[in-house]
Amino acid sequence: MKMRKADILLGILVLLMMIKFAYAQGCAPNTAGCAPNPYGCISSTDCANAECITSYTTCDNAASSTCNTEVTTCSTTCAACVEGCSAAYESCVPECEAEHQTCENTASSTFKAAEATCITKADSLQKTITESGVYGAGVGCGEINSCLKKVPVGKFQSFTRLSCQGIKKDQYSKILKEYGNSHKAAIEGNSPMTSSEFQQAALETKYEFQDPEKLAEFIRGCQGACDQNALNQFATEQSRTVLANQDVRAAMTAAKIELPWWKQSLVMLEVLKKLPEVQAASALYGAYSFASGIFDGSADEDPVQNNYYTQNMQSAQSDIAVASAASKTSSLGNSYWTNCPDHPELECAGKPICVVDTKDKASQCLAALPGGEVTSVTFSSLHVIDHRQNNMFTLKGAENQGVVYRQDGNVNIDKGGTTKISVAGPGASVTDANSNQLYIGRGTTTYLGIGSESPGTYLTNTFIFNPKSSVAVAAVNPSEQQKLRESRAININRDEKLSLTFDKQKLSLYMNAVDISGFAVNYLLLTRGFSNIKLVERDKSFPLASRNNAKGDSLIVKNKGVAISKGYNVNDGTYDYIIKTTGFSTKVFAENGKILEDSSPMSNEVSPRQQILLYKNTFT
Amino acid sequence: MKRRGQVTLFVAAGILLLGGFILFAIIRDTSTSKLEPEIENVRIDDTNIRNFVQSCVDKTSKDAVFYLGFIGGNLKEDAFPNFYNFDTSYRLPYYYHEGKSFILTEQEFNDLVLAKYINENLRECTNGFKSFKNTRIADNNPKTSVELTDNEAAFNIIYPVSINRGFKTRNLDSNYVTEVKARLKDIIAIARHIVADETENDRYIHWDYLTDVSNRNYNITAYTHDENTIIYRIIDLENEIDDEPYIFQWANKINLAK
Repeated sequence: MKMRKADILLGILVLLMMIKFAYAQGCAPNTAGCAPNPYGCISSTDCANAECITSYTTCDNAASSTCNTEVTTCSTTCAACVEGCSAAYESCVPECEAEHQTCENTASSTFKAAEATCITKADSLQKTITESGVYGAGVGCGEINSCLKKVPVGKFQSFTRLSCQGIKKDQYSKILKEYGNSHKAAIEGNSPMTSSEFQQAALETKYEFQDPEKLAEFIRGCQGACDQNALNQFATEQSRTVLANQDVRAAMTAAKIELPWWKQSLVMLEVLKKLPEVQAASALYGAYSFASGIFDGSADEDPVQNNYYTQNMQSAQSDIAVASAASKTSSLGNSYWTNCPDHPELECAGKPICVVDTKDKASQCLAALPGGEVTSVTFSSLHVIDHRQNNMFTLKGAENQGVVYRQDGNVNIDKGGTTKISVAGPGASVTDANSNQLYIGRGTTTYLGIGSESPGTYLTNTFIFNPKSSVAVAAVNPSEQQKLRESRAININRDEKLSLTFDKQKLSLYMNAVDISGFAVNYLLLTRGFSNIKLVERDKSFPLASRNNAKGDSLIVKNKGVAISKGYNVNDGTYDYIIKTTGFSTKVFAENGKILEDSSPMSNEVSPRQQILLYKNTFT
Repeated sequence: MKRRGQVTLFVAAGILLLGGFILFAIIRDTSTSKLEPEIENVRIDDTNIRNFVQSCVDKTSKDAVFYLGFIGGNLKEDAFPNFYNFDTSYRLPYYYHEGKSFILTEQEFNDLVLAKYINENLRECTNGFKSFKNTRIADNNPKTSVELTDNEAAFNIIYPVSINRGFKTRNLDSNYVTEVKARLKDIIAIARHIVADETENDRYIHWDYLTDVSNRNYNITAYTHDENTIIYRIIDLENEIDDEPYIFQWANKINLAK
């Protein structure tokens, strides 16, 4: 029975609660007005748009939550109101519900206002971020282009974001223009060198790289994709120190970039600065001094000849000065780097260390030149200037691979094209492809190599000394040539300079020509036209001259007693002579075996009859 | 009367004519028998003396040619202003000296060197004819003319020599002629050619020309000496004087102080 009573009471309680519930349905919370409303900010690609959305969403959610709380409170209050209704329950409940509705409306309005505030806040944040120039992780790469577009002048700080894909050329241009000088490391460290947008921007703005590796990467990325002329101009704007970098040279070589002569000259100057300086051996200077003394231009020569030498030296000096100045002016013409094809030097072969002159096509390997500031290379033909020796090598012809400085300061000249050697200093020591070593005096000497009209020929207006044969030859001034000029029926080049060849055993087709050929016994000297020749010994020399015919030189009086160690057959086209030492002096033998000249004095020994006749007064 | 006088005159003339004829015959016979050996001796002496003079002419001429070639002459007064000295006696004339030519023409060589040497030295050779002790011989200064041909130097000397015998004076033939075998004419031309070249430009030793000369059977060599001097020596291989080839040599001084 007891159990039954309890059950009855519980049933009544449940019934009562069910009745209240039925009345409390009007106080149920309605959160519909608290539902968050999405806000997309400006656009998904706009700068800090995500940040904006996040900000707004957070804010909106918070407002919505507040709204929900308030709506719940409204409901609770309403329920309490309904529960508190005891008198006229039916009239009380509607009042409660009306209050409840008002409460919820208030909450909703508050929420709406909060949402508006959130938008404002988010927009503000976006604007702040955009204008701050600081674009953190919250700023996606998709937004960076917009950021770069909108970032105010001087505000951009997030250079790391330059690595984002999708940045447009204009934005890169904007950054490069504004920060190209002040933030090179940041720009080059973060910008995608392979991006065509960045490439175009860099080309247009002629951005000057400071990191050679980045420039090389940029050029490689640009190779084939960028306009060649624009790339050439862009390269021209780069600093000479950066362009001098080996990676950059390699990249330029691959991209076939051409630089104006003046720029290339400066670049090569930088390259040469970094190369080891070749110390010319003191022995070489001794040789210069010795060789210069052969035709010393003092008492040995007449004033006209001396003036000729002086003028030729001054002309060479002038050529060197003009070529030196070429590196400081915008002289017309271009040059490009190349991988030194088939170069005989290991330091050069296949490496991007050769420059090519687009005008005359000659090339020069910079690794074959002494470093420091000993040499420089300029253009308007390709000039290698030796500042220490005050010499210059001017290279022409596609076959000419330039000069190679040896450790001893001796210079190898190439077998191809032409190499003009301008000497305004003490002299130049060169060796050609046929191993002919030569000391060249002040003036201008041109080596005509393969591809020229007379391969293997030196044309000179000064003197050349060949130590191997001990023969020195010198050009003769034009006025002297005029005095003795004779017309020859053969078709020859009328150039007044002296043509010198080796081991041809015939004369080149020049008006003034000498050929020196080596044989087992004697050297063969072929002469035509005008030249001064000296057969050189350590301290003295045996002089001879070509004045259409070979002749002795009375300057032998300055070399009395000279005994040359080598023998020579001399042929001038009409006469043959043998010059050799017999006894203690050098003698010139005619073809008939008679002695025409002797470097030593005549014996003053006399026969008995002569003695009687000469000294009869002494005896009587 | 008139006819008798005429007969007497004819008879007297006949007698005188006959007597003269007899006297002439006697005198003629006496002269032939006593004076003939003396006249013979006189003739021998004249020949010896003339031969002696001729030998001196020959020797002096050869010496003249020798001295001309070897030392530019050997005269009391030098014919040239500058010499290259081996010693005080052996010295060579400068035919070219620092831009100036001092070489003589062929005629000047003949007159001023060769002839003059003969004129100065021939009497030294005859030496007052002391070797002819018993004969009084007088002479006068010779007068010499020289002519050069292709192969010899021809001397024509007028050398008056007279022999006194008592009251008689005999003048020897004064014309002497001798020849010295040497191509002096050609050699002088060669030397003048070389000096002319030097004067124009002393820078060169013309091997080509020297070769051409050497092909004419000469040795010709330019030797190098001190004092900016080049000595040229030409040896005539076709002629000898006293068994020695003829030598012609001189010095050129190069002008290095232009």
